[in-house]
Amino acid sequence: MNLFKIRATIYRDIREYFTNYAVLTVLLMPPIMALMYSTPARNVREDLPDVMIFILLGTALASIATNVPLMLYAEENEHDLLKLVTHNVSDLMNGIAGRSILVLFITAAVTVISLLIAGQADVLSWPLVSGLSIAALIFLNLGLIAGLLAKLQSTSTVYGVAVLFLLGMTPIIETFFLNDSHLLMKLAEFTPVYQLMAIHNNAGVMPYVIMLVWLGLTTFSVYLAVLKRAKTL
Amino acid sequence: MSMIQVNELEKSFGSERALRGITFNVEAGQIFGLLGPSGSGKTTTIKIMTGEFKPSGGEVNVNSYNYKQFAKNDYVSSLGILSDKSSLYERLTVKDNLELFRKLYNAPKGSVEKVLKDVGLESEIDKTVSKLSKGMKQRILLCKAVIHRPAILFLDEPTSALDPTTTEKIHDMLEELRDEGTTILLTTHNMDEATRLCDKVAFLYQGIIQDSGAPSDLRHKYKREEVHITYNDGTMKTVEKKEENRQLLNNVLFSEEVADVRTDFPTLGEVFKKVTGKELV
Repeated sequence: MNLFKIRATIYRDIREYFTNYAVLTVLLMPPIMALMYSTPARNVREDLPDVMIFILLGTALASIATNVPLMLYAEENEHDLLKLVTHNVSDLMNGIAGRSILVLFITAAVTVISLLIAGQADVLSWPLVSGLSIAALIFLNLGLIAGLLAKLQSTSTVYGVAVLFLLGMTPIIETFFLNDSHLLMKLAEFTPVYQLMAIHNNAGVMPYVIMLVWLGLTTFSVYLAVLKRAKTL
Repeated sequence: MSMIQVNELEKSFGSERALRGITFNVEAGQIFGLLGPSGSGKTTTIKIMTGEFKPSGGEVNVNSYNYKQFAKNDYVSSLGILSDKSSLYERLTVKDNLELFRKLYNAPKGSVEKVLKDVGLESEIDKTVSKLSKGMKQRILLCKAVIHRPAILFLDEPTSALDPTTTEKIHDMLEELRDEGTTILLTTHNMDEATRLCDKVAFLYQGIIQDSGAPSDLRHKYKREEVHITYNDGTMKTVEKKEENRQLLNNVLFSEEVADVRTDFPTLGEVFKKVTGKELV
């Protein structure tokens, strides 16, 4: 690991966050959602329902941890921005490390801010925080896989939106009033955000196991994406 | 000492042979020009030397690295590259762009201000790149390529489609870099640029080096054996330098009717045409 290159990546990405309107939008999405969701509840002096809290958490994870690296890599690939300084797998890994460190930090910060805006920061127990940490890595991996292989920003956006709605906002399925035995409900129960809900409801070890399987699969996919991307350097 | 040694270099893309066994050396602290029309193999040659392409045959050594080692970070860090693929982050400022590359190469603090001063763009340091003109962007790209003071600089048509003022500034900077000891290999189809800058050139045409040497040597080699005489009344005459014209030429030198006598060295473009039979476009 080359610390200079990791620092350089973080330096550049911080500036991108403030000048890239697409990135700024996804950063602001969770706090704005928190404000929108919490205002009606606050007006009637009620807590936000759990489903809404976890839609908010899932949105923060999918919009930031997945979509930010996805968008930044897609733009770099489309315009060959780092081709001249990314010559081998080592350079690629340094870039991924720098970008990931910053994304995870920003994801954590925005998540906490959103929960504070919604008045639901007390939902953050140690088990949930550990679950969120694993979930953040899963969503980050999903962004890295697509970002490393993306050729165009426009097509990568489709993937990002799909992750946001299908995996980030999964609890919204509760509002469809489906039977527990419905296929969609069965599938939803294995998604990362549902595991977070299970952890919050003290469901034991199983949610962690499911998330670690997700983490293993996505990490392996990132490894394959890195190898494939390295061939084009 | 040769910084770049290319020996019987070949490159094929499928059935198409882009390079057919080219050989040349570039000495340390020299500006070497690879001249040729579009499609002659210039960019392919540079891409092999920067590690982007692998050769199909032959040997390439750059800065004592063999082509098999071109992916190493040490090798990459010793190069500066300005190619058609070079680009900048349009939304970021000039300073942010150059600071990024300064950090990537671990160049000393102050390098950004220094290179901008070298190209006369220090006043643009806080400007967003998207607001710069094409000529300014090209100068910033050159700054990016030299910010870490590389030992070798590869430039692929560095002044293509630029205005004369910007071209002049870039030429000045390249001459300064050469005087500081940087070895520069550039490709161009601008003969004036090659004549001004290059210590040595090679004519690349259809993947083969047709001839090479210092620009003045090549012009001498292919000079026309003619004398142009201009008389006081404005008439002009061209006389071949042959034995049978010796007396005439001797008389011309002492004639009061003659206003001007000169021989013509061909331009590099004329030499290229003579060597390859093709105009350099």
